[in-house]
Amino acid sequence: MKRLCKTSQFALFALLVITILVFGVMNHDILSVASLYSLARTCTVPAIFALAIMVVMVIGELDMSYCMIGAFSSYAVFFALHEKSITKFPLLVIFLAAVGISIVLQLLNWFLIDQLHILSFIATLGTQTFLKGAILAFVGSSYIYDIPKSAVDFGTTYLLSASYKSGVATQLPLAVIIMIGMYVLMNLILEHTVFGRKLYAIGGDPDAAKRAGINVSQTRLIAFIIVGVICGIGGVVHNCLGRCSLPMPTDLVGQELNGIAAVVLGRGASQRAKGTVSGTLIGVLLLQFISNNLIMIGVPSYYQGFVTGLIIFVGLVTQTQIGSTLFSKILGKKGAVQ
Amino acid sequence: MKAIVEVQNLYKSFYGALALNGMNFTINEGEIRCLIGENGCGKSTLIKVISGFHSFDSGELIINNKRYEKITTAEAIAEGIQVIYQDFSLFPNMTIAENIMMYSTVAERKIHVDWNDIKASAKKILDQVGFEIDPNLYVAGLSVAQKQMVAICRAIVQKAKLLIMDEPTTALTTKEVQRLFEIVRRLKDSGVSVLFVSHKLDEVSQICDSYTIMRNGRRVFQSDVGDAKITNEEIVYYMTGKRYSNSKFTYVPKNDIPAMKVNGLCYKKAFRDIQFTLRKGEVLGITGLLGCGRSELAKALFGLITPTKGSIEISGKNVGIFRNVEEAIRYKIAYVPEDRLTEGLHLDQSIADNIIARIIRDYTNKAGIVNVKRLKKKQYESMNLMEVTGMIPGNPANSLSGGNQQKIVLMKWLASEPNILILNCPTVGVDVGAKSDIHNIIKDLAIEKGIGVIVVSNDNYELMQTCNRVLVMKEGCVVEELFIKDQTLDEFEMMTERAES
Amino acid sequence: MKKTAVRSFDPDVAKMLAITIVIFVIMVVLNGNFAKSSNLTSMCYQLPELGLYSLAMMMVMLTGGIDLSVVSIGNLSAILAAKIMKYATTNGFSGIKLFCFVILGIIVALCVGCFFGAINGLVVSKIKIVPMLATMATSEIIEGISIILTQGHSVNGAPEQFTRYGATTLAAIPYSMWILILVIMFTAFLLHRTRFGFEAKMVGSNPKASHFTGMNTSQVYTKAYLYSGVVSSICGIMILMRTNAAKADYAVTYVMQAILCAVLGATNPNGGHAKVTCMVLALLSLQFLSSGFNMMHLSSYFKEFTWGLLLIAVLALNFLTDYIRQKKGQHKAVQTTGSAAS
Repeated sequence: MKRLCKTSQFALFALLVITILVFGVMNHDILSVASLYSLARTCTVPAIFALAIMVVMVIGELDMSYCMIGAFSSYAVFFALHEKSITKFPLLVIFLAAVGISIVLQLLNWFLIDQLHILSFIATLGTQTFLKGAILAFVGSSYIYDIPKSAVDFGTTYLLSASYKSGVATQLPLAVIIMIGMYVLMNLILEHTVFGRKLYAIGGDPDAAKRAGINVSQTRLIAFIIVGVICGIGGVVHNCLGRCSLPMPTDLVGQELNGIAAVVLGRGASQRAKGTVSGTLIGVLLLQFISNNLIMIGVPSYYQGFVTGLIIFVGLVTQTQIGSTLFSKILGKKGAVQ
Repeated sequence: MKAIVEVQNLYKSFYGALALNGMNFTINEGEIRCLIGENGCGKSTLIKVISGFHSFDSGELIINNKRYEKITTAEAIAEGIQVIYQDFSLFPNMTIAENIMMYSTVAERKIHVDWNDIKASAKKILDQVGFEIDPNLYVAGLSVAQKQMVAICRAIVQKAKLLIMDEPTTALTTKEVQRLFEIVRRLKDSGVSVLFVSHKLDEVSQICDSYTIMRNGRRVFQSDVGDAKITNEEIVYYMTGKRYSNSKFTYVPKNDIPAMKVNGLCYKKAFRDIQFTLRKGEVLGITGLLGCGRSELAKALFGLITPTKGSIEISGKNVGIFRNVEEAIRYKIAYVPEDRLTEGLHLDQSIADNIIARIIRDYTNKAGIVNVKRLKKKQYESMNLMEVTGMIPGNPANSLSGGNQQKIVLMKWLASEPNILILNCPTVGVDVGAKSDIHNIIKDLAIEKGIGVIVVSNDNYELMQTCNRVLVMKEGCVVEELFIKDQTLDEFEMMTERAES
Repeated sequence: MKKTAVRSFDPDVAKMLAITIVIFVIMVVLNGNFAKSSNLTSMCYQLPELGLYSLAMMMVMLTGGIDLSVVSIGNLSAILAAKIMKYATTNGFSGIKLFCFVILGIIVALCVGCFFGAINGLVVSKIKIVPMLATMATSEIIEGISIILTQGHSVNGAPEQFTRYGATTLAAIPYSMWILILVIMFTAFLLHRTRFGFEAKMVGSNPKASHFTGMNTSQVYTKAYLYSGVVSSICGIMILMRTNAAKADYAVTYVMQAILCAVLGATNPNGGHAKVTCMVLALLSLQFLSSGFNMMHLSSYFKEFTWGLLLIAVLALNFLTDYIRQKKGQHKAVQTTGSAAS
């Protein structure tokens, strides 16, 4: 417990637990297994995309285009299949194709940021705008409902299911495994491989990294490829779960900042690490839990934005110096959020 | 004697400008050599070429009897060349242990990170150097001296044969410097060569066996192990090609109202019960080891930190204590900060804008509108206060060298026509020539304009040159008041040391 | 304060001017009606909204921050103004009473801008939350309030006496364009002739040095966000005037477009550099692109495509010119100072 208190994510974790408890007291259904499955399901896609932006933030950059790239690559693949009226197609190839497109687009980002030294925030804002226009103007703007059967199957394969007291059933989709797998793998890469440490080193100080003998450009390149892979997978998973493909899914594009918020919330007060895998997951869980369950505790749906904003705000305050001193005072433990 | 690194006739240019102009340089095994030169003489370039950070155009680079046409950072590290840069090149977002082991982790080309191994090895090295600290702490929270120790540990782990240290003593207290030298001597005994790159002649001369002095990209002087030590004046001559004659500051006592009188000033643990008087036209030095509270005192006199107790009198009027900078500015106090890069200048803004940053408030009416015409006139006057080579008002401040940047900071404050000028380590990282200029400016201000000047510094030479009176601080208290008369530098040093101990 | 020797033309302005002219010429060549007054007038109706939001964004970016709440502040202002005006029209007020209500609506809207601008400023300067996240959170909260007030519906019913100014012109220039021109002039005045403008620039470039020079940095931040809030609510009022509708999520894409426009106009997101002239030129070139393609009956998405492309192209161009300048300039620097890059 003491060690847990010392981790920088503790404040956020406490906020999550408190939120869950408060919500749970107001509606016991929220503490049920069914609610957990529902949360896992809604978390899947945001969590994958949050992982992508986290990698970018670890190397000290920012990406405003990652959601658009995910949506773009997936839609492009489904659009091609739709045009050719192919209804049977191996899922793996769909994934690979989307990942391929996504990597190419992330390489464009890498080129702008690493080779042309453009500030990442601006460069990716440019790519985002440009891709948004490109997909709608040149590829297509219609919904695609006849996505291949393999993809539908993947989206509708459930591992477990449970139901609320009211009888409404919720299921735990297979895709959750992919999400968890990606988190475990990314955690391994970032915390236990030399490559992962190189990423943190570049995020810490690029010049020092160069002096340490790290090939900064090359390492960044691989990082952007990884981001591309994650975005590609995220895009396809999103479409499989939704059982249709649309060029600019509103629950994805325009939500870039929520992903960034999750990462920032997750890195805790210290801000030493630019992002951690576990923290990001907690950040996503918190944000999704709130938007998922507000209705269940009787808050009208149009209050949702307000409350979400408020909670993000509280989360941010706990990270500041003022917030963390306040927080440790409340807990009565010195250095609880070091 | 076996040479570790030998450089012959090395040329290197950046976009057509020669940074190394036929440089020759040798360092032998187990030697402590000092590389001296003014800013921009090419010594940083030389280090960067040897460590593989820059390529070179022509010439010979021989490391451990191996000729290199081109050397990468990784190869240089493999040859045992380790550089400790002034900023230490540490990763603030990582622990001490990981920082120490980072280079070897990268060099070993392994995939997996063995955390237990990293922690154990780091601990071993820390013990070996005699540096007691928890290796799991993050580097972001360490002091400068601690960061330097981490950087040294990292170099030792790499089995360094040649350790290059860029300005290693700048931010260290005397005690820490002694400890650093002890470690360096121990390294030398174990066969490691050390190359000191430094500005601080007196400190470096304690430890170096030999010197190489550079000017304009080439070697102008070299002494070897066993050669007689050369004097500071000699070194300055080789560095600049000019001879400087410095006259000491003389203060003619006047019996008028003191510019500033400080009564029983206290701040937390940093300093307590500070009592002194600063007269008009006087240059008062405040010295002491790093951490003695001198820097905090200077900040408190300028409202950057609010003292807990005490009061300040300005021109005979009790003004209490300053709660913020604006209050201090109202009483015409100027403050030249310790770190001009982060605290003194807006590097990416034009020199002209930097100069008016302070006085713009004096040329603003109540509605916040600036009287541009008058401000411009004042700005023009201020810019002609002192000579700055290569100053184009529209260029950004970072186009200037360190000494000239410091002059810009001075101009900014002098434009406000202060009654009291506080300078916190005014010549750190400033060339010998510019340093002498700045000293002369300080003296002129006191004599001609009757400004009360406070110089906070740990550079004894500087204090000797500019001050008529020096307060020595120790653990937050003023322990000694020294009057500068005809002491020699050595005598003065002994006096301050006695007071500090 | 533009103290620099402006004898030679500012290269950033020159570059942007050239780009704007090139785009204009291309558009005229592509369709002959482009330069006709009817098209120019219609552009004047479209331009001000993005223009005002971009100005708000620019001022905050000058201090090294960013304000993602501009659009939500604008919308909330518009909603409150619309509600007040609607109250007047539904109760059948007329004459001086109606006029008072219209004025009251405008004042309340401006107060909303002041209030949330100040909140943003205080959160950034006092609680010290990263501007991007702080304003993102306040943006969600403000939009949340708008949704709660309207339950997601749009509010209309502002009096015709008010909305007619959204569709009429004064001296052949729409009223909304006049508003934009006034705000641009005011902003330029603020940046070049006031202490605030100078301090905003200096604080954006190095907050610590500014503090050491005696500037009240948190006050500067607060003022910048305050400005942004007020300009946003002016924009909100203007939108209400033109469309006679206020909605919680009206034109949320303006946030990113405003950033794009500001950055295109040589604003440095790291703070310390902003040029009103450049930003106005950037605004014009974006408008030329979108109107031009619109006249060619290309989808509006094509506009976004070209905007993104333009931003990337300009940034790449900056890189190239910097690269060339460095190659040339290094020579000069060395000759004057005698020191090489070391």
